[in-house]
Amino acid sequence: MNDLIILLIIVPFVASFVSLLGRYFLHLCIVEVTSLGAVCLCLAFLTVLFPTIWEGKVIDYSVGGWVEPVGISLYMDGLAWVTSLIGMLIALFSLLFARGEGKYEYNFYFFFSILLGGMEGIILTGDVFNMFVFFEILSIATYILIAYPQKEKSIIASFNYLLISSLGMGFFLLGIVLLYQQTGVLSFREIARLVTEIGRDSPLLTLSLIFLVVGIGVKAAFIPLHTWLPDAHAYAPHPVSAILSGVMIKVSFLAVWRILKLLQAPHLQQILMWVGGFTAFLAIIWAMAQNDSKKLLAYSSISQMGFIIASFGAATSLSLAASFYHILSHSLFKSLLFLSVGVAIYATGTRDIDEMAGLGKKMPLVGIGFLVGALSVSGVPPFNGYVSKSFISTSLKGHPFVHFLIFLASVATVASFTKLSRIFRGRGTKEDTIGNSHKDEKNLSSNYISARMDHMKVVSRGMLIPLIVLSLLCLITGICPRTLAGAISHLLLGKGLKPALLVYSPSQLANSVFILGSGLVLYLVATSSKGKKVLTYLRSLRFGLNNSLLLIVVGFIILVIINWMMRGFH
Amino acid sequence: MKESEIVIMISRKLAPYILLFGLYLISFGHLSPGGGFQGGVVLASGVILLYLSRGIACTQRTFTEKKLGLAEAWMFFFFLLMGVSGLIAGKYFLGNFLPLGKAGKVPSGGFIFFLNLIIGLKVGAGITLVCSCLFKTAKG
Amino acid sequence: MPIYFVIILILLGVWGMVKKDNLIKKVISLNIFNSSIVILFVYLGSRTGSTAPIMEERMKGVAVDPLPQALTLTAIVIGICLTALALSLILRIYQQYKTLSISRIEKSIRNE
Repeated sequence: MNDLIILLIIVPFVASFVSLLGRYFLHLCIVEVTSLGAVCLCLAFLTVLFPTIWEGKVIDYSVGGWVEPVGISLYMDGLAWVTSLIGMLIALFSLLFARGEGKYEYNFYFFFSILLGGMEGIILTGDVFNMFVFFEILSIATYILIAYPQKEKSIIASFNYLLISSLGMGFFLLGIVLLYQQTGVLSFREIARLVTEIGRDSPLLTLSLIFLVVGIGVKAAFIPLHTWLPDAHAYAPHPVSAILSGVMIKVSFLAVWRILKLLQAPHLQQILMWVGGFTAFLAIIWAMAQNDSKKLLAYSSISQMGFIIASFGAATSLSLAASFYHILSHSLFKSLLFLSVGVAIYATGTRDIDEMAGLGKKMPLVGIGFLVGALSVSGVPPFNGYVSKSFISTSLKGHPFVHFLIFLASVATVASFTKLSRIFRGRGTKEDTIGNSHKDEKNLSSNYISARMDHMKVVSRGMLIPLIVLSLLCLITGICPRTLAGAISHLLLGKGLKPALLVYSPSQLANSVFILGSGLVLYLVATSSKGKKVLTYLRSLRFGLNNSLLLIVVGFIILVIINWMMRGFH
Repeated sequence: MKESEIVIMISRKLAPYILLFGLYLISFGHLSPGGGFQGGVVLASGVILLYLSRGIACTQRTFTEKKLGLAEAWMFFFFLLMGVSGLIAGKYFLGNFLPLGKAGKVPSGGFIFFLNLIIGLKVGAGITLVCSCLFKTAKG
Repeated sequence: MPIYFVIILILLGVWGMVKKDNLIKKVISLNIFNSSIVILFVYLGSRTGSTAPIMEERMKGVAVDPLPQALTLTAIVIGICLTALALSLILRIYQQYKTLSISRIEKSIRNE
């Protein structure tokens, strides 16, 4: 039974070995089936481990037989179990989509399996340097997967991401150096035990924690550290975007969760609440300004991560369960959105929202999938986004300013997804987006669009199956919220939720309707001519590589200063 | 870059010694500074000396990309195999199951010797492959 | 006293990554940054003793801490992989844009 944990990490690496060797004498189908089989095998292991985890036991495993402070040990508790489940599910759907799209070679499956192995390693490990090694394995696989199409924008996006993420990982390594110099051990349990002896308030310990949090925060999209994310997620291939937005930023955030929970720094959690609020608000303003469909989705990912971070920062048991529920629902609907927009881009060959308009008639299934995803992210009742957003706003009631920021972010989310749904509705002319359009220009553009429609590529069934299953999962996780939230809370914290929590109450429903209405009003304001001028200005602000790196250093210094001010002494 | 006769002659005589030194670093990794990765990089630098002195096309006929790629892939497999054999025999992944000898001699330390060997060959093949691809695009 | 030199090296690496215009100089600064963090780690671990931590028949003298040396190896390997990957990406960027200066590349992206 204990061996299943290490097999969860080994099986993706064995699948990657098959892809590596398969380049010389195996057919591509065998490699695809092997990768899918590895993911299904890991899902089977997780099902076998479920009864033990449900009772609240923590499964322990020492690598190589070396006992805890000397060697590396792996833990699986409830948090690790649910995260592995989410990761493997989204990987399964991404691989099915990649198989349906059919233009990926052996290298793609090799790096995808390494990405899965690295992701499992981050969640299951109990040693802080081992977490660094698995983070780097994950990062190197993602750099190569983002640069896979080998167009110039993908390569520049990957290079920017490489430099920014290496700076972040360097900060993480500095944090490990300082932590080791104070405690002398590297495993999480031993550090947690020694921290209570050293004293939680020593300045070097807080400095090392801030280094660690900034290091991982680069990959988890905190606000001054997020600048790599729009380009990287937008110019990557579609299944890679789905797994990056759906899983990788969450796994990085869960590493922050584990570190802060074990080392117990309540000041830092409060600062994270403010970081989350600003992330949620600022990112969605940028999202409304975009014309590129995948960049809009990428900025919306940053904004939803802000929701998750803010709810984690509030630090009550309800807010922790709400944060994890939002992690679960966001991975489901964001992968659904990326994959459905990916089908649309594959069919028409362009990424611009205005050029793709009016696809709903030609591809009804994809349109329904996109509709489910957009309704989930806007927080409309029977879907899971409504449940997790109302949990989050209930748990943040005690902090009025952050609650207001989250409310504004929800309104702006509705507006930006109304803008994105232009892909699937409308008649397909550019008339309502260009301010002034002469008659022959309108005829020319509608001829251009209808000519493009006739040359659309055929969409295979393999690409549609993940969309259907993900939509059903979004619906199911939204219909019975009390059981799912109770299960999550039991797995994470060991106790159930308070029974007096009602999600489908009239006040929550009225709240949701109000947000929907304000969002539509905001959309109408944004598409007026004055609104368009503001949005065009916002779209032209881009961070160069130098400024992005400078922002990381500045963000770190601001975090140190705020922490110092909150404690009153140095 | 025109290679002179002296460089070609000396590098031909020197390259086997560099490879031997790399193998020494790999196999005495648990007794003196060195180990799998360091020895592998020295192995790769021996081959890179041959690239620089004899020309890329000539050396690539001996160390072809297919052979290097296959060597790297099979070494990955052997590493996983040793780990899983530790799982089957000694009940832990990467657990030791060979007898420990006397401290200070080469056969001590169980199967660290084999792990060093596997990693050394894999790193050597890998870095040679990287440099071979980079040199190839530079020329053409 | 030597710890201040190492901290200055770390700050030099960060400054080089932020301010330099040439892409290859950025990669060199990344290498300086990684190497100097590793020097800091080994220096902080080496103050306990004087001999190498390898066990022969008897240990002669107090050994230095072996854990930072193992971690140093891992960090150096990761640094090499990152440098190799960054250099191959720079090669592709150069073939596309014919320049190695990040400001000119960003200007040509902005003008598209």
